[in-house]
Amino acid sequence: MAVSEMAGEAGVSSSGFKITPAAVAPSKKKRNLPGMPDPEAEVIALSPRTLLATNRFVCEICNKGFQRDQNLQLHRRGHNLPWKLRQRTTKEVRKRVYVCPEPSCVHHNPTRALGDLTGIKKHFCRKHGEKKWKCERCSKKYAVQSDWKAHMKTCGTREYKCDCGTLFSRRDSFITHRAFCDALAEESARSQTLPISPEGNPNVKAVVASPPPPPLTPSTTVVSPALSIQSSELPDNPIGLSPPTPATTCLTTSTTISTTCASSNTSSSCTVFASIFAPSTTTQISQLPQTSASSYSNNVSSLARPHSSTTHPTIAGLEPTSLSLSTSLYLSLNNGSSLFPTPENQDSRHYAPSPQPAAMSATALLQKAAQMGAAASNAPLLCGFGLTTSSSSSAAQKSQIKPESGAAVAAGLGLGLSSVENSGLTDYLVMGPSPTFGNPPMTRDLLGLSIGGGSGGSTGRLSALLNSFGGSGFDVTASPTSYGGGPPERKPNGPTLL
Amino acid sequence: MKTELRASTTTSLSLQNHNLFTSPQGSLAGALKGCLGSLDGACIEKLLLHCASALESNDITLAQQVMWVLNNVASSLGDPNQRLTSWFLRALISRASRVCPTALNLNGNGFVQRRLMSVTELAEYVDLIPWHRFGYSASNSAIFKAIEGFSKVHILDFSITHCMQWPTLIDALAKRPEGPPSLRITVPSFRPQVPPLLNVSCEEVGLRLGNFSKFRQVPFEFNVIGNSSSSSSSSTSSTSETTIMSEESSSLFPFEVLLSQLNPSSLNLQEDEALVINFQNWLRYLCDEPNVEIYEGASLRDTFLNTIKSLNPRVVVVVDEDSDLSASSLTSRITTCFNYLWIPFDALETFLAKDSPHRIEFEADIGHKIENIIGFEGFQRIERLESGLMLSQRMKNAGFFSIPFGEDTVGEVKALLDEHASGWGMKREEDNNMLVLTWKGHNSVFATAWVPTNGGSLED
Repeated sequence: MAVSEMAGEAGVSSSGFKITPAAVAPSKKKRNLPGMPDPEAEVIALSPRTLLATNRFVCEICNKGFQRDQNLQLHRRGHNLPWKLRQRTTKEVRKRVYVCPEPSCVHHNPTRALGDLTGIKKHFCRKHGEKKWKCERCSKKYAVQSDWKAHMKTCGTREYKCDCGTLFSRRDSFITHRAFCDALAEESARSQTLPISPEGNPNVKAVVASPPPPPLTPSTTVVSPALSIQSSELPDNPIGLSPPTPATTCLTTSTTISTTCASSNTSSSCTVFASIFAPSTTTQISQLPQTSASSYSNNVSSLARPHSSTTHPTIAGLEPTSLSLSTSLYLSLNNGSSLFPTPENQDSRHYAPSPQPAAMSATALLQKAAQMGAAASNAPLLCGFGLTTSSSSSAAQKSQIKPESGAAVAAGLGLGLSSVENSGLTDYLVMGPSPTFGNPPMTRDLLGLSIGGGSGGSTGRLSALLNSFGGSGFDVTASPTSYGGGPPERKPNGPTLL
Repeated sequence: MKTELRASTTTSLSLQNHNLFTSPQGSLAGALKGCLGSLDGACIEKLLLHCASALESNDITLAQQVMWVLNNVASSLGDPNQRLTSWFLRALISRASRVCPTALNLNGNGFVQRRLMSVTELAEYVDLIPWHRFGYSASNSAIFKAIEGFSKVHILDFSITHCMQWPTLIDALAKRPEGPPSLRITVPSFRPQVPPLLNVSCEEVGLRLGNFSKFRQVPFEFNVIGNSSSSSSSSTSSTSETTIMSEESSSLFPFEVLLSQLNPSSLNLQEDEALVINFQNWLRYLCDEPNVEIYEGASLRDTFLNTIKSLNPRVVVVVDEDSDLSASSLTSRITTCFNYLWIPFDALETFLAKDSPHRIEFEADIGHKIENIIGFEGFQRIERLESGLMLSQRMKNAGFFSIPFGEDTVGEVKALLDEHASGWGMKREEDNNMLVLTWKGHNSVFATAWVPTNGGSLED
């Protein structure tokens, strides 16, 4: 009888279960601790498939699934099928406990079995199952739907509110914010002469009665002037820094990195910022040279450095070099991107970048590289590193670029950040002659090829590279990756073509 | 960490110059061997290594070639692999630009400055992911326990996150059953110029902490040491300066200046005070190379720790990232760095959108670190991180022994992690009494607590 009941409950798969008596220390009849079952209980081991099955009872007419046999029987009444509701038998039903099928689990041991079927199901899902339910607010994931529901009840409801109006769902972030919030500073400034009331509990959910503090003049956010400068998508410069002082240039340089998001996403917000902070521009700029040169030099024992005392000479010294770096690089930029409004670079067309890396297979990239390399005359790459660029065209372009030197520097040292959305350094890396690196000063083009199969070594490199791809193109696609647990999953050695 | 590929139809190579297929071997081919069909994390790593070794052997052409390929993989708005690659590529280019011995090497400072945040922005930043908060929580809990029974506490705070750690401790102290102790926090005036950067001075930060403490009725004092001008300034009398991080100490050896101030008189140590030392992402900036002239063969880092020990602190908490990133070999650093820093990138990926400004900023800060680790050498390479294991050994060598974190600490940290995305976990390393924050099982940040071996008054 017991066996048949089991079979019925097991539904589709009745394999992988056994019934063994649990053998534990004697216990009382009252409720036991979880995982310490009644010694008289019947231990049932269900298979994972059984545990995870949801609607195991299926109507034969309409294939509707039910979690419980009782519900299926009631449903069958509607089809005028014979139905039978099992009544609870009068005789004492032997208590059943369930073990977890996962061998490594502590509850796999019959002495640690769990008391009810729902419990073991939930346990199995939670611990060993896939977390399919996700909270949208905080991205926590759950395997059991009821857990998820329970979480959704509390997520976002327990909130802490700062005087400044910001809401927090976590207490520690609330406390930290509150400690540094301007609202508190304002309040304490106002109540300097008055004793503070002993209500020291920051845990108030209600809004404190004090009026919201006036927005502090953001005089210390120095970044904003730079936004307008370096985001060259703006056709005009509202701040009016068009003749960029060296300090400004370096200001641009120095604050470029930060504003990736701003410039690549919303140039409009840059404008807003610019107009707001226009008055404070000049004062802020003067402060910056101090910082812009200091990122690594400060904590460097720089006895050998001549510029230790004042920073301005550093800036001045830095600037021309960076300009030449940037301009020369800019010359060789394959900037089909919108970074610079007037890219009159003769090479730009040749080096028009692929719009997205995804669109190009690696083999195609190399082909293109070969073609570009063949066509390029003397695009100076790494000669941008302060080296000789004797071609007149580059000189002409240098002067041409001057007005946008800020942006160019940004490109140079900001490493193509700003509005190059998809390829990080598209504008940047174009191959060309690099005489000063000790190589023979012959004209090399992309990937070291010259037209008509020049030097063997560099040619060999490209060909070997192409060979290595074996003729099967592959794509470098930007698609979301899923991370496994450990390094082996992370770095497969074999091909993973989808 | 693999870039999943969409298989395209096999394209025949229609090259113009078929005579290119001459010699079979080439270094770039070697770089790409084993990358058949997939440009995944392993392949990118190999490419990075090849680029680095090409730079080291001055094979600029190969370096260019590899960079070119990498450039087409990299994308600051792509998947974590691509984003990480873009920062590595930057670092390599930065390094390459210094390979050439020209006037560009003025001060070796090629890197652009990070944005300056306001204090509230920084508060938000440190709570983006539990990366920092984990350390705060574990440390504060250990500190709280260690100062039990004391009515005066002095915290010597060496950290790069500008006192973001302390509000929660102040809050906990305020609720102490026996009443809060009086709290004194001392910070060095010098701070490595690494992100996150604030737009206010440390005195201003201290002022705000003072406000908060007053609000919570915890007696509080804030000091700054290491200034050549003033050795200390209390919060009540400090003027709030809005100049940016002006550590213009007269000496050019800021850590050495700091070291010289680590004595009872400069610090104004009191007998009845519990002295707490807090190292949060800090020790890595102390040079770990043995220095014969100054420190008799020891490194600055060891000397610093010895000095700390001589102050007889009640507890020393050390939190840092769990990876060895200070090998002298560049290729080894690249490998380790690449295999470690995917962790925060991955965490951010599961949690924030591709164009989220917070995410980009956080990643940029990591990029800053990458640039220093990969792009610089010698004294300019200030990021010399060592793993929890190595650091623990160093602490032991300096005469400390580790104390375990209590169950309530563990519980607190677990509760903290429960409130974040489900990939975050925690594990305890029993032998070192370390708590380690894990992401998908990988070690990210470690936290440890130490007492000096002799006179360590924690054992009763």
